[in-house]
Amino acid sequence: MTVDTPPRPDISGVQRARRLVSPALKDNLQVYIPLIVIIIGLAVFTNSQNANFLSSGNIKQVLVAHSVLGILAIGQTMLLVAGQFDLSVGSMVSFGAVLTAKQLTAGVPESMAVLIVLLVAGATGLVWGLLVALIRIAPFILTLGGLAVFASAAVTLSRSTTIPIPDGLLWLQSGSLIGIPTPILLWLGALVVGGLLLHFTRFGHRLYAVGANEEAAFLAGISVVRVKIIVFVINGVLAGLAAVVMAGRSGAGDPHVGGGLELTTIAAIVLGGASLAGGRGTILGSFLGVLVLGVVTSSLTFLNVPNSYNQFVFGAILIAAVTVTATAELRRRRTNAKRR
Amino acid sequence: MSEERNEEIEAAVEAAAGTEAAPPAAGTPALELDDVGKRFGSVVALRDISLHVDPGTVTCVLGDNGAGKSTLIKILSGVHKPTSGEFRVDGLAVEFSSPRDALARGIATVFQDLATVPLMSIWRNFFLGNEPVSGFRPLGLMAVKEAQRMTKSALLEMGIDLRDTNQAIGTLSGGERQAVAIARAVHFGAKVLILDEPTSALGVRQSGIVLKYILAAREQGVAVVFITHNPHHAFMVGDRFYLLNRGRMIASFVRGKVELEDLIQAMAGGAELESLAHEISSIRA
Repeated sequence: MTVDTPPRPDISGVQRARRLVSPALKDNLQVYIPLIVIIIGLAVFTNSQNANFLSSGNIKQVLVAHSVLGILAIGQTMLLVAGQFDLSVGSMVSFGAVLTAKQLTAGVPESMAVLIVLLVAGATGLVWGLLVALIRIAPFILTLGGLAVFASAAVTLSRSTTIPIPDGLLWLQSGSLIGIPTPILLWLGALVVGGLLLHFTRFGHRLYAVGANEEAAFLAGISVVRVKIIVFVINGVLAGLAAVVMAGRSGAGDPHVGGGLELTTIAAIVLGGASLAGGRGTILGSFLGVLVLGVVTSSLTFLNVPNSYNQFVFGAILIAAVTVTATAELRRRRTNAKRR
Repeated sequence: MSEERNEEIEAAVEAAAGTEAAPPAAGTPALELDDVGKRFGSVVALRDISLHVDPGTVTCVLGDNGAGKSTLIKILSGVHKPTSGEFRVDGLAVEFSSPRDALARGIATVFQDLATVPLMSIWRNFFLGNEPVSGFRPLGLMAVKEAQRMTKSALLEMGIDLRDTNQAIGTLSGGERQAVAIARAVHFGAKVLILDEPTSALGVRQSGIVLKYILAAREQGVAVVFITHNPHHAFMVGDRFYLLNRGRMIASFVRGKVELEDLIQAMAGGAELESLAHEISSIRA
């Protein structure tokens, strides 16, 4: 507003160039660039120690191993952006994997079995969404309850044993297209659809509005209830897909396979720039967060560091990242306060 | 802020208001309340409120803290339902169950703290709840470039020149944010624009800017409801004045038949202000 601000002094070429990068993109690059540096730096270092690290075989292996986490991260990112989250996805992966194995061993056709898992997971998301949106239960408590329920259901349904899938879902276990294994393709597909939905549609726009300021979004005429329900359903369906991928990839329904995945997912997403307070986060950032986890895990294996250090290193990176972000935010607020 | 500065703004606002400030027009009021009351359980927040708001005028609702202004706004904007009385829009009785309903009838409200989402960009805020989509509709792909262009031109129309509509609205000053919210309401065809204390958090200069936009909206035929506890601001732009006190409508005035002093007196409850003046002078003595 010209009336309001004194005429700006002439600006240098550098400043002008800076303005070309839009503020939103700049904020995102501040998140992306350090993550990309970590991923490339660690990969190059490990590769210098063991030249097999950057072989296409290992890259595929790392991506396949993290496809379940990556798919979960897409739905959870949308939830976090809208100021919600779902802690039940980890045990949903266990339950869904067991349910897939049970159906296949009972002779249910593959496509039908997959469809049923997606429906069950989607319906669970619908229940969470309805309860959160209509009677305003805090998602933390609600989905913590869900976590317990489905963890128990997975154990009960499988009678506490891993159910092998002898000759089902082979397209997931060993299938590939133009050399890319199926789990990676499904992950990439979900990334593209999720990215389009969150960043280029009206619905995605409303997710950010609801997460950043629910009251303002409501007063602007946005149906907050509908937005919340839909995002929980999307997350549920993606959890179902993750469960199917898990069952297919491992060739079995293990009732404990998804344990802890919900927290690992949220950690990767927060590393990717999302905020538990809502209104922030991107699909690409969460993808990079998952990749950091993948590269750390694989690097430590290649460097012969005991497995028990995986979580330690990833946790340290997460703590460092949120500390840097919080410090930058504090500094920005101070300079903003000075400017006023 | 110097005295001159103050006068300068006042003069500018006066000039913009024009001398032939429209007398409350005949015809159907854009919005009417008839003996409206609101109770929350046993607490009576509003009692027997009647008012009418004409197109192309500024109607000021004045009241001190706790007078019932917030409850009144929430009724007008569809957040609360009145428990008694009738609420008419364009002469027809209405019952809103959410702000969406009110917006659909052309009643837009700019809330003091909730007018915008600070984390989001200016253009995203401008289209909040009215996001333009392109291509295959059910996909709901946002027409981003179009939205940015429209935001810039709509803001220019209101005399607001912002360099980059892609910056977060939280980086704007309070007055600028209010101005964007007003421009948004006008752009999306608000027939009634309700402003909740738009100047209360602002300095003199910023307030002047917001008052200017209130008049700009009035010029476009919008019925403006200006809710404030500042009689000076109300007097500068108002065509009609209602005074709220403890949930009741205690007085109403029409522009030209009321002096600023009368408003201040009425608002403070006359005697109360005098006794307060006494008290203060005795402390200072």
